[in-house]
Amino acid sequence: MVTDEYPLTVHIKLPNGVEYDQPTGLFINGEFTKSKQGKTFEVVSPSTEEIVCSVYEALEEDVNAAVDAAENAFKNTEWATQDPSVRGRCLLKLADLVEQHAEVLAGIESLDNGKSLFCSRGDVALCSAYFRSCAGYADKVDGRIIDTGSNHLSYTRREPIGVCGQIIPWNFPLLMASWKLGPCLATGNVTVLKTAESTPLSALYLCNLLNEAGFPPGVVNIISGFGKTTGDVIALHPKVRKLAFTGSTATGRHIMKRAAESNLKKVTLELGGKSPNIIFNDADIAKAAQNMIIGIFYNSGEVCCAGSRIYCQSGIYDELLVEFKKAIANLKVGDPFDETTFQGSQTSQLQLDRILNYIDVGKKEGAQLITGGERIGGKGYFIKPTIFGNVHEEMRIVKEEIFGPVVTITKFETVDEVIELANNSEYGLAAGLHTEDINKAIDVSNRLKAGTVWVNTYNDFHSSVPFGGYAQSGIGREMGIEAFDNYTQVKAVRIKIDKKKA
Amino acid sequence: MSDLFVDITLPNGLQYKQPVGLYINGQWLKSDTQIVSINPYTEEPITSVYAASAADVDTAAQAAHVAFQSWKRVTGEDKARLLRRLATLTEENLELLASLEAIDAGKPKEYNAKADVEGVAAILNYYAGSADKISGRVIPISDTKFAYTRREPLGVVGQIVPWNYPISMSSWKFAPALAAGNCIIIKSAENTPLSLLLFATLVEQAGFPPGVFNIISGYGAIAGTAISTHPLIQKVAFTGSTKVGQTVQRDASANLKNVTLECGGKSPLIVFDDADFEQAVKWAAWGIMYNSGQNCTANARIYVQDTIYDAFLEKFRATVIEEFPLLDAFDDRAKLGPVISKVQYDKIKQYIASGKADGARVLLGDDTKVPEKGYWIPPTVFVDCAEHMKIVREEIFGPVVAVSKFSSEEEVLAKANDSTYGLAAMVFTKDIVKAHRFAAELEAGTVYVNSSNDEDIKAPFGGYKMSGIGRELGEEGLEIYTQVKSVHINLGNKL
Repeated sequence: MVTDEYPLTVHIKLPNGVEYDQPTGLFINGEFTKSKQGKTFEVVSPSTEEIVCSVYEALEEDVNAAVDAAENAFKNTEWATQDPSVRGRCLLKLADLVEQHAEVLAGIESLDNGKSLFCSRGDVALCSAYFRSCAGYADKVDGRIIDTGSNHLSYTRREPIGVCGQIIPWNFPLLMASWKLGPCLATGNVTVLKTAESTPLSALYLCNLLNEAGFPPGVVNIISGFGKTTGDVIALHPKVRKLAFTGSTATGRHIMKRAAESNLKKVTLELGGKSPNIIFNDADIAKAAQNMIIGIFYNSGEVCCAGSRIYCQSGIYDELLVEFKKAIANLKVGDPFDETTFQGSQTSQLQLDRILNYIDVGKKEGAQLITGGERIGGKGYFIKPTIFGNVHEEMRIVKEEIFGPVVTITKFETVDEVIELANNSEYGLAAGLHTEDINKAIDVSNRLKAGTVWVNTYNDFHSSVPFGGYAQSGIGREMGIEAFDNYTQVKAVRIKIDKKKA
Repeated sequence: MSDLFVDITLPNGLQYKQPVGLYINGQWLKSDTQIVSINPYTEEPITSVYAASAADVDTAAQAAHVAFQSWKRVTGEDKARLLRRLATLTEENLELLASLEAIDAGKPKEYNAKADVEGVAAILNYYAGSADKISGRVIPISDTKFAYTRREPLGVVGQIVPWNYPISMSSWKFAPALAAGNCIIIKSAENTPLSLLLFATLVEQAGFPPGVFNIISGYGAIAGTAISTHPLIQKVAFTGSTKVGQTVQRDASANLKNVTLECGGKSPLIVFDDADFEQAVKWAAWGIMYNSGQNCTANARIYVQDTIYDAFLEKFRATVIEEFPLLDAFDDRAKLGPVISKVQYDKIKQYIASGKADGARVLLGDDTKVPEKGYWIPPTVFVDCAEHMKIVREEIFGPVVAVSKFSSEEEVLAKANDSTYGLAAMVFTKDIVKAHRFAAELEAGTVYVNSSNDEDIKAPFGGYKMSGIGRELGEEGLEIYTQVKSVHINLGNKL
């Protein structure tokens, strides 16, 4: 859709009555602008399939403008070189503003992504907590003095990298924006951030808060666009020195190639997963069932670290399955704006089709459909919570990431056996294990090849704890103190000291 | 109830209710003794406050001990929220706190007191940022042993703060202690109890649970000793003179409590002939006259290279005269106030007399006109000093500086280090090699290159030798309020 008539702000009334002004432009250099060619694309509400509005689409010239604005802010203003406490204060203010606007932001997220308000409110709370955590770190990025003898003064500085390109996914639009912006800005970098094409709205709303929080123009630039056009330009851009991407492993591989082809920009990737969730005989069955629910049905299963392969020790298999099915029966799937809904819709038609296709594949592969396995209704991309049993490790539904409310369940006997099953994957993002035996918990955690191991919990995040993947689930860590390593580079300084006589 | 709050109108017209009780366990209490707080500008009493007895300290320690059982379980984020709220409240009450500090501590409101109070908000925010980031490490040993460290708070901590920067020095202590999860009993100096008591009302407003943040006024020999010796108090942090610091350390041995001390100094400021001359003079003047020299890191000894000595003296004298006129607290041009008390006034006068007796030349100070009222010591500059003089060796803690000549690097380095103190040192030179060499060789907890008293809350601060034990500010400032516990989990070692 090509039009230069589209307004830069659209007034929206959310299904729960909340009204707000939705920015639709590209946020470049502190202002919203239309794209140079005037191109826009539509935003659909996946729980109703209705068009919400359009937003402007950034093409190559727009990306260039954003990068230039960022570069200017980095080179020609004091953003990177001033007292770092100032950056901390901006992030703190942003955290407070996110909290003040929590209901609107949660509503936008549920409208744009289809997730229940229960989920989107949780996202907004994590978002402001994370900005707050990064704010406190801004003035503590120290180097070290290294004793190499009295002939030198040797020390390190940790400096920002400069212009960062950040590409975020559609499953946690606002939260993923905070995971990227927080450490990037705390350490004095500047950024061009591209949202996912299915979910551009909440980040655009955030832009007004960025201005109010005192971030100078050009420090944060937020643009909407498609991967192949907008995203690729960012990945190839010669002035972007660092790229951070969250999305599928396939796209991540492509991004890494583009970085190598262009200017060897530093790359961190948060990719896919097929995380095992392991229940031992001595687990608390009721709690384990709840954690299995959170593991695969939270956020409609659209979670990179979803516990999508359940391994249950044979001693409690039958009992656990009964408990699991009971818990599923109590799950409310439906209108995201219904306060009692747990699971909303999937995010797009594309995702709905993918997931339904995997369900089909599972049936064809001979897996036993224990519950669910179909779409709900005809309007809105809703899928029933689905369990496949009697699976074997070679099945596609066991090996490949489905990214929906579909889980496989497998029986196992021994610890050695389940560790081998769990680790038998090209992914390595997370793992869950449930047991009352601390020895087993630590021993199994040590042996699982995953960036996060959850014991007696699942999808249980904290700002201070790092998160990221082993193997093809990613490169680098987000959150925790480790996140700040992604956005700084070490400079070593050696000063020669000659002894003087007078 | 009205006995616990006194209506006060400050000289600039601000009116407020001054708390005068002891703030213990979220309540205001009276005691059997009182301390009168005097305005050093007028020599008149402002008001009197209740002074804590040993029994009051015990009450506070018991309350803090109980409160600690819950406070230690409060998450870092929640502690941070309270600290940040307190910072916001401080900023909202900036004018009042600064005006009160000005008359209780005898310092210019605009130039000194305001900066002190702004610093309180800044340090609260700084340590709020650390509160959720206190982590230990995992130490790989073997498959059968899992070892890690925890950094835990100490428990009930006693803090004894001085009168030269009452509320500011208090914040260097309470902010990291609370962020680390301790419960505190903080005692102000006898000379300056008022701002910390007013601050207690902000602590209440911020919502700190009762017993976590206890604030008392008291005499060092009574309440201070009670804190240092109390068996329930796990740590005492003290800022004050080296002499009293020694007493605190001795008393703390009663239950082997952890001790950190920020004590005196006689910090040497060295000016080489290759320095930026103008800047060296300005910093040197500022570094001794700021806060009327009542500053543990004041550069009270200045060593000037002989080749620029005369020129330096001339410029230094003129700069001090111009920059530090004797003005009223609420005069926005004021940068210098009186000294805190009659006791200090007399002590400093004695040092000035000894300087003359020892043969130092008075370059400035004898003829300065001094206001009729107030403990005013005019900026006093002794020159042509020598190492044996008392005014060169001992801490005067007033606007009195001893300037000496030197010719070689070796000579001035030896003189600079020839002291039982080691709090700070300053060196002025454009030669990068000389700068770094002196930074390495000077025996001081902080070395300033081409500045003086230019501290930042992010960089640690503290003394070598008898200037102190431990560091405040920065990361280190938080560490002193934690203790390391190692945890070994046996995953299979059998006997």
